[in-house]
Amino acid sequence: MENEEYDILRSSIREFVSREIEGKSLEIEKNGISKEITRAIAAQGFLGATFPENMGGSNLDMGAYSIILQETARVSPSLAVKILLLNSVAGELLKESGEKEIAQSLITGEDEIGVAFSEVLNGTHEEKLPVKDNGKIRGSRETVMNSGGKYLLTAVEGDKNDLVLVKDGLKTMDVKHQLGFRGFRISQVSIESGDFTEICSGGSGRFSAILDGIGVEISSVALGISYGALNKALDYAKVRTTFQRPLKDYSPVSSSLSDVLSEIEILQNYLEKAPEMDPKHIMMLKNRSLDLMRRTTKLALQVHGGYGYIQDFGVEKFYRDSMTLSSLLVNRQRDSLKLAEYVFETPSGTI
Amino acid sequence: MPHCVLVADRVIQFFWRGSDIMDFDLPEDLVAAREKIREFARREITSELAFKYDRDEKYPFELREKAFKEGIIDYQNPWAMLIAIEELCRQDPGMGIAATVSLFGVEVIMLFGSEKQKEKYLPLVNSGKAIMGLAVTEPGGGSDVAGLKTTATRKGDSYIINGSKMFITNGQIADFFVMLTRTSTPDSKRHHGLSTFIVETNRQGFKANKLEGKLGVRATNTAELVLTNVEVPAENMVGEEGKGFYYIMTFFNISRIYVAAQALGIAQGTLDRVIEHVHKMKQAGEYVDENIQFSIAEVATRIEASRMLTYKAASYLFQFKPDPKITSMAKAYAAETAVFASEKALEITGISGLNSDLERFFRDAKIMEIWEGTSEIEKLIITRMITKTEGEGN
Ligand SMILES: Cc1cc2nc3c(=O)[nH]c(=O)nc-3n(C[C@H](O)[C@H](O)[C@H](O)COP(=O)(O)OP(=O)(O)OC[C@H]3O[C@@H](n4cnc5c(N)ncnc54)[C@H](O)[C@@H]3O)c2cc1C
Repeated sequence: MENEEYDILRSSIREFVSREIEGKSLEIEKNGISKEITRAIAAQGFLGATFPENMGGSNLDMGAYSIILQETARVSPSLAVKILLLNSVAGELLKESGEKEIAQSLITGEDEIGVAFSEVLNGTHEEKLPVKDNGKIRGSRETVMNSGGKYLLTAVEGDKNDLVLVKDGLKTMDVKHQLGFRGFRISQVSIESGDFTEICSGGSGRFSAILDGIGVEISSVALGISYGALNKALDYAKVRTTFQRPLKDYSPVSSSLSDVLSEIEILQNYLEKAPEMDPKHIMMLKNRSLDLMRRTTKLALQVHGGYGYIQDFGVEKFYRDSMTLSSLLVNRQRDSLKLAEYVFETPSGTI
Repeated sequence: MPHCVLVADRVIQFFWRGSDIMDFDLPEDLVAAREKIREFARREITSELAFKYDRDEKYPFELREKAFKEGIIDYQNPWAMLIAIEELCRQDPGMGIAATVSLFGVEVIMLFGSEKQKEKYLPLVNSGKAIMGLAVTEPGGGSDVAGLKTTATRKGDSYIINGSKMFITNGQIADFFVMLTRTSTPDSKRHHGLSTFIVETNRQGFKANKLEGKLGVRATNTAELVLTNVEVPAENMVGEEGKGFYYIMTFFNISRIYVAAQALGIAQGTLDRVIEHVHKMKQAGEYVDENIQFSIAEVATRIEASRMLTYKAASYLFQFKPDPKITSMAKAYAAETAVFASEKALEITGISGLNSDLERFFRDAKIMEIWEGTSEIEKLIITRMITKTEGEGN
């Protein structure tokens, strides 16, 4: 795609998101992404953005896909991450499995797929993977993202640590703690005698590699979240008055908001070049985007005062989602080791 | 005498000034009180209960009742109260605050109320028979207290109150509020012409709409109050007409110390859980790298500093010589520490933190930087006090 085409794509997606999603973003937080919204984004081709055409996808390049993620994250980070999970995590594996029909049912929003890879994230020490037993899968997964659907992708216990697509026998447990991405479920799923397709061996390693390879996507969501939160704060600072002056007139408010906007725009320019970047620079982009997102969302909430603390104002979700993104789709420790190795050109920062 | 010994001797002489030595330990009775409160908190506030009250946005009436019954809440003993707030919030911020905030605003009556008001209202709240709250913030503003719009207009022996109040803790469950209103148009100073009233919630024209969907402290009850021609007898005015702003600012200099204690409890609670996590990491043979070690040290240091500031502010207050500068420092610093600690905790614990109490602590902590004076407002107060008393700045 040419630059101009990206611009056109961005403005048409922004227009769609503001028309179809923005008014429902609170509803998404309260009751989840509805079937209606799923169908609407499927019709736009978002759910199959990177799937090949022979599977019913749009086969978009990274630049275009990144724009979808940024623009949806500005309004609903849940929606952006749902698109990311399907395309960049499940999609990668389904392409390999050749499960064309299943892929099509997911791309059209007819069925849903959960993904479980918590074993490759920070902070898990005890979770047992499910097992293969008499040609079926049995066991459970603690943290399944987008749970509640028909399918599940998980690694299983055993020498080969296979990665499997479980096709039935799933029982979704009640959501317990769910800090962010409340548009879809994150919960425990138990697998009772599930039929499955084997996708590859070395499942956990494969998930790790997938996570390592989605730096541009994560940066896109992080910058989308930053823009979304900051825009709310900028608007609010213009209209909210305290001590008979708009908030924007107070130097700590105006300088902190201006500072983060400067950082966002610099990273945005960098992101646009990301599809051609080497892994080292993508890692740098991801590292800075995540950090900026955390600071921006916190600032945006603070600028809103008491209103920032209430769901109806649509700011607190950015605060929750930014922390969730940093923990559920990023292995911070592994990333910092990788970055150190790129910088020092030898394993570093291990102590 | 060797040089180093001489220097050491001088250093000792400099610091050792006999009876001037400060004692940083709490007295024995407070150490015992802390133990008792901790035992109560562990017994009555389980993770499961905290999860439930947070999910359902429900006020824990039972906990409050038990806390009164077992003498955990005792406003006659301010040091013990401070420690109770800290310890209950350490176990769970939402439930801890909910249980200890049922007398919110009582100091306004204690300090400025008439004897009759004290006799009528204080025993009710002190015994736990009634719940009260403080209504200052309005939809149009919280930081700018003097900008409030709710009016109280004299009519014979009564005042008629009209307006609305926003984000009011105990809004739906309180029996009465201490409410700040405008009784006359301001002169050159906007904070003139404000007066405080006791407003019972069963009066005609009083309505409370619960605010749902808070980020955190969801076990506390928060509401918007709408007052339409609410008539209160003139004897419900607290103190003198036109002095309300001064009363409320005096109150904030007290209550902010209790908020600092809430924040301290939250920060300590997150650190407790991080330490538990680190033990588990070690047991599982995982390596605790220096980044994690530094984060823990940083959090622990900030907690210690917050505790020092909070206890110092409390010590001045409880000796009837409050220092607003130290109070605001304590509130702002402890609040930022709570948020910092909750963020670091989730960074260190990763996915297991997200699936635990720490997820709730992260959401709860953020209110500390907002209510009873945002961190920005506290900083303005600190500088104002410093430049006023020490003649620096502009
Ligand atoms: C859960 C909850 C419970 C509450 N309970 C009570 C209660 O019981 N009683 C009650 O009266 N209130 C209560 N409040 C209100 C709370 O005290 C206010 O939200 C707070 O004082 C901030 O006021 P505001 O929300 O109007 O923000 P604003 O005053 O509009 O401030 C918005 C932002 O601008 C910043 N700002 C404002 N002025 C300046 C300046 N001059 N310089 C730099 N920055 C500035 C603020 O720091 C903040 O970041 C509660 C709020 C919540 C969320």
